[in-house]
Amino acid sequence: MRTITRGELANVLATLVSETKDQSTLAKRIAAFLVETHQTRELEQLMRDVRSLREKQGQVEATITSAFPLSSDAKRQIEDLLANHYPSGSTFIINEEVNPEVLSGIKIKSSEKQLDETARGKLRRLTKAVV
Amino acid sequence: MADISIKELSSDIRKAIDELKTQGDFETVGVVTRVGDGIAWIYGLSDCGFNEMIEIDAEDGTTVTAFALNLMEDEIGAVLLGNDIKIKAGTNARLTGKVLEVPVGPELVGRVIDPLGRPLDDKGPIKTKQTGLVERPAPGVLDRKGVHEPLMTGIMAIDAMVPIGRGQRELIIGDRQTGKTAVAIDTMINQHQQETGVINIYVAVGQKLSKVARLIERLKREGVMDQTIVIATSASDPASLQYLAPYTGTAIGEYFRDNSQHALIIYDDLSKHAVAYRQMSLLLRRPPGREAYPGDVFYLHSRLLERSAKLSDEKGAGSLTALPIIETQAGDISAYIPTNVISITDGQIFMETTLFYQGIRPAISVGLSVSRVGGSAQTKAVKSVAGNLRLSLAQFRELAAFSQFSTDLDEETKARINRGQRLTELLKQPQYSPLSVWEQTASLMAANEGVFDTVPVDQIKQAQDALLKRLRSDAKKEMGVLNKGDKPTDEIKNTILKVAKDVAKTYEVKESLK
Repeated sequence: MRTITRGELANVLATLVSETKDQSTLAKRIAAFLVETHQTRELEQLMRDVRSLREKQGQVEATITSAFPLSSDAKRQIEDLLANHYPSGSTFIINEEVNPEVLSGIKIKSSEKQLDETARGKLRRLTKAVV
Repeated sequence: MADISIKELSSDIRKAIDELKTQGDFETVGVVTRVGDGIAWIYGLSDCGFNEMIEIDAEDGTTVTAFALNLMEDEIGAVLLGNDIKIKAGTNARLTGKVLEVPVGPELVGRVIDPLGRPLDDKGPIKTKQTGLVERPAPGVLDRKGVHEPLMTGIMAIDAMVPIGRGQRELIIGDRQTGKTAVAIDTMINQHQQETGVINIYVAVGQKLSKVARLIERLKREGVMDQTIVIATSASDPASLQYLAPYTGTAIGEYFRDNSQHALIIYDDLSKHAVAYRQMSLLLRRPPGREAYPGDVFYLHSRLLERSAKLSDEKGAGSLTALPIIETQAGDISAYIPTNVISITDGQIFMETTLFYQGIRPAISVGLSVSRVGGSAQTKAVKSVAGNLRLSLAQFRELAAFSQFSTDLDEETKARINRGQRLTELLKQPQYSPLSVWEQTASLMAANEGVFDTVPVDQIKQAQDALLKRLRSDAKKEMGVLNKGDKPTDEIKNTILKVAKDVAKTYEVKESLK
């Protein structure tokens, strides 16, 4: 069987994800392909590649980490922030994650970018600046 | 504990808080996919540049710095500058947008630091006004001037036959325990004793810490530490730090070079440097070449040593002189790394084990040692008396086998052997005792004029000491003039020879009384 590179596979998957209406079936097909081609270990990197490609196509997916659940107002503001940073973006998918360890503030992470406005992130920057 | 001013610290913290932006920027982040053996493989960071610094979040909330050495399509191989134990797969990695820089400046003089500029001597933090790039292009052709100023090592054998100039690269090469580091230390001591103003930089690459500690202790005792900077890495330090150490030293030396000052840098030793680079390259899965070294091991040293140069007058006329050290195995100077570095440097001083165990120390092989800069970097005073030295010793070596048949040889051959034995004895020099310009000139002049030909070989060193002692007391003014380096006048020459003849007679008399 001809070996397909991860980049080529990611391109194909990005297209399939955009077109599919049945997420569960797609997931099984991808899983079966990865098992057959012994590429299961590359799943994490593959999914990041797909996210990165979808971002270039205008579908931005971001994970928001905060110490407390976000209000709808906060979510709207975050969407506006993302829209400013990704002017070519047409769709914004937001995944929320609550982590008390960040103490306060939020962290927005997309496929390749991160905005860390948590207390922990600010402390890290302060330490770096002083030391 | 180092004394830290709380007032200063408060001011620094307020300044840092002011400098923090009220809203951060989006940073480019990647994720560590694998880590081990000092290498972190990172996914993402598509904008990463070669040698760019990367910050990796550690488990305990701190960050570990790395620099990117392998930029591949799918991942980046980054060499860690700290412990890899704290990093786990899945942690974030951020670009810093900077390449590696180290603090540079006169504030470092007298300090012992690591390759990242962190102090190791418990004398408190180092605050410099500037930083210098660890990797930087060497000066171009038009920014340079030919080497024409001497850098005296204080070792007569070197200053007479293999003279070194400011801005030159002179390799010190030999087997283990042949006195390579001793030559370097004596050179540093001589810069202090002759008050040349040259800043010494000693880079210890993968050395035993006990050796580095002993060296620092000796430098302190000789008063040299006040004009020396030591960059220390031990054999237990990560290969990444051992790899960076010579470049850090060069960046520090370049500060002085570019500011119209003169610096001397000693790399002890580049063999260990090549081994550390080989380790990193193999772990980065780069294809191994000859002796498993990567294909760019020549470039590793050539780009390092090209930064040692003498600058033109327009650029400030500063200089950075390099004394790289290479350790050979069983005297094989035709091995891979030694031949690489020999072809880069402007000459080599070859230390031989057989000479060392014969008691000839420094164990410099006159036949194999060379300075490609030569006489243009030699003081006129020493040049005037050293002209025939190499030839005389070469002729002596040719005839040395016949010395046991002395009764059967013609007078000329006997005279050559006689002279050669005395010159060989004269060139022996104890460690930590560099000789000044006038001391070298006077000693060689006496030997060349045949004054010491009647002194027994085993008393040559005493005769030399007596000569120098007499000249120091009876002709202090003339020797002060001679020490400036100009060719000796007839008057000075006559003074030296007169005293030398008096001293030589004393030893002849002592011998005849036996």
